Amino acid sequence: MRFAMLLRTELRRSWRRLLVVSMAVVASVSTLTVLGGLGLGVYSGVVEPLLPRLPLRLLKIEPRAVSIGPIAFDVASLGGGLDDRALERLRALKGVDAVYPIVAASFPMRAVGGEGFIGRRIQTDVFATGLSSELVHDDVSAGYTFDDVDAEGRVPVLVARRLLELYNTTVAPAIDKPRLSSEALIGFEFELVLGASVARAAQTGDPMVRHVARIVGLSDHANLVGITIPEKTLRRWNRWWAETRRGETQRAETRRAETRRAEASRAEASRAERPRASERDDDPLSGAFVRIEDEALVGEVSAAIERAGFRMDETPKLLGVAVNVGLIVSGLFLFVVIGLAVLTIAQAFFLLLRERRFDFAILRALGARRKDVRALVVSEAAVVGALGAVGGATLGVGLLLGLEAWFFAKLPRLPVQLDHVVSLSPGLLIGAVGFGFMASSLGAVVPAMMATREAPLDVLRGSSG
Amino acid sequence: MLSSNDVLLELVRVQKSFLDGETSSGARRTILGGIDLEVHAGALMAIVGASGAGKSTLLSVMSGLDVVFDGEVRLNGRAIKAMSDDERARLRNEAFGFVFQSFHLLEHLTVAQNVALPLWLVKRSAKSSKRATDDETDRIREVLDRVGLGDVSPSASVRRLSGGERQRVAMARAIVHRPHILFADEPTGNLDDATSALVISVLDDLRRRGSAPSDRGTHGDGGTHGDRGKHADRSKDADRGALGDGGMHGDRGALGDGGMHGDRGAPGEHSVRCAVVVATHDPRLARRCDRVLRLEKGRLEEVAGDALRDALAD
Repeated sequence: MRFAMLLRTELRRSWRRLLVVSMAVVASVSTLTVLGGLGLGVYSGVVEPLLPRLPLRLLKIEPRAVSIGPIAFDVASLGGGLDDRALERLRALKGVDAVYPIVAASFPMRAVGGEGFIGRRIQTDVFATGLSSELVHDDVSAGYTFDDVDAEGRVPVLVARRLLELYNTTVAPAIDKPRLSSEALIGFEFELVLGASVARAAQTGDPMVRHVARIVGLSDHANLVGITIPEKTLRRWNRWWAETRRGETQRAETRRAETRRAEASRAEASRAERPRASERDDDPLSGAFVRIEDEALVGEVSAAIERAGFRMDETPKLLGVAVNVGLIVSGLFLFVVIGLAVLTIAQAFFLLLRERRFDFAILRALGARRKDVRALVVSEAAVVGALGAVGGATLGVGLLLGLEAWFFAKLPRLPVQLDHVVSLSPGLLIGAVGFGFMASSLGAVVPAMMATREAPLDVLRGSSG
Repeated sequence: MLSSNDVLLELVRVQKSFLDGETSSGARRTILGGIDLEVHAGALMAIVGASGAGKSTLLSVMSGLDVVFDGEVRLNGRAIKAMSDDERARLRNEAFGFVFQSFHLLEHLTVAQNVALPLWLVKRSAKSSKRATDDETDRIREVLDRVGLGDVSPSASVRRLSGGERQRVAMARAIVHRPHILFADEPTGNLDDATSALVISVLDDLRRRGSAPSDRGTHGDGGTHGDRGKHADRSKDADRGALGDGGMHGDRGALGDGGMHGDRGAPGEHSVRCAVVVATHDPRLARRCDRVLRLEKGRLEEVAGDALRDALAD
């Protein structure tokens, strides 16, 4: 069968009707491209940088707090607090594989340095947390370790990936400095002064020790508003701070006892409580990571954790819900658009083939098989679908680029670095073009089958009498 | 002697009836009441009858367009009804040609494209397809020339053609693929006298020379005139009544006298012996046919002489 000849003449003949089909394909493919590109772009360019990239089976637990407006109060005494005993309760929950405490520093700490980056020496208070090296093992750059203070006395430090983004998007432009890459940050050293604070005046007897800190990696587990050091290091420093402070306090109390003998016994009783607390090794905890045995148990374990009186960091969950709601709404919209497009295509073909049923009857009377006619119709649809799909994808890409340009022109500076808000992945474009092609082809199948169902003689008799 | 292969198409007790829409009793109206007929290679056969007698229905049954009937239609001994839909489509494409009363041209195609349609529908390998394409243009020109449209541009739209020209395009389309049997349903029905005469001469020429343009010059007029004589004799023989088995054998015997062999040309030369079956009420066309069969009340009778005159006068 000289199919191409026939196809060409039919396409030329029905181009107006086929243009309607093509427009439906263009509309659906461009919509698919825009929504898909926007959805993927927002997810990869906006949501993902905001979301800590934690594995699904790793939950972050926070101390339960009661909030009155913006002010939150820790309610450790009400059973939702986190301490080492609470961690044991968490470890005992069914489905929990491991629990990693986030140890908080119980003493002030000051960071000094920055000449290499900003040209002058600065000092600032930092908030430090301690994490298990096992948890962040994968985040430590090659050639570095995150176990404890190294042989040269340097403290390994992890910083939050988002902290770098915040610096690059807000601090760097403000002080007219170039953005930092993660590679540039690794190995950067600064001074940590334990027991010192810029904001708080040192009290009598406060110890003060200097250490060199070195950034060894970026981590999504790391403290967003400070630095993260090895758990064992921070626990040791907390003990050092408590013991040193206790020793100084004891000496001061002894001196006062000589002059205020009557109060000495009561003070002594009070002091007697502290060593017991220290002996329990109760470091302050700002949270914990709970690793679950299996992703399938996440929901179950989350519920058990909440029942046990703990609170989970719900930021990722809320963002996840927002993303999911967005995806569902987009998906529904897309579904409606695609459904309408397919219906339009099918209806256009029904009308088109209805008009041409007499021609098909002639072709069949002259020897065309049913499948020849069906193939002819579906091929027409495929050609129109392919052209429409390429046109639709091109239009969609244009719209997306325009949308992104408009977005960056109108958008205020955000505390996160946005490289893009749309995604033009080849997969999306291929998928969109493929969808248009398939929708058009499939939309013509049923009309084509119906068009060849009639006996040619019946159709021809209708005209010739 | 004519071999049994010369019987191209054979109808055996073909019956067809419709539910009579004009009565509420659900009675069936018989259109074809047990028709027996043989169509031989090289025959020019007319089926006459009043409007609504079933001429078009008979042609549809013979050509495999209509397979809803009782009895059998055999092409070269093979029952058409037993063939698959695809096989019948191939049959219509390769063995049969059709000329419809209403032309049934595809209006969006040019003259050449309409004529080429049967060639386009032929399933070919890629290699033979290229050869066919090379041959196609010449073939189209030849058939257009043969139906008297040599001066019409092949690239002209059929919309611009007159009724007679359109009918001749339809005839060119019907013979371009060198069918074995050409079915023509009232081919002069919608035409004026002059154009009708032209169409009749084309059909007559087709019968005399075969459907293949390349056969031109291989058939002598004398041979075909001889045919007509034989057929006239045969018609007289068959004038005894409805065609029964004996009648058909008698036909075969008459044809076996060898008149049609003259049509075939020299042995070994490519030739297509085309039978032409027309449904018509045009006396001029009927008179040019070898056999005239009247369809009336579901029965088919061969008519000749006075009976033929009377039948055509009806």
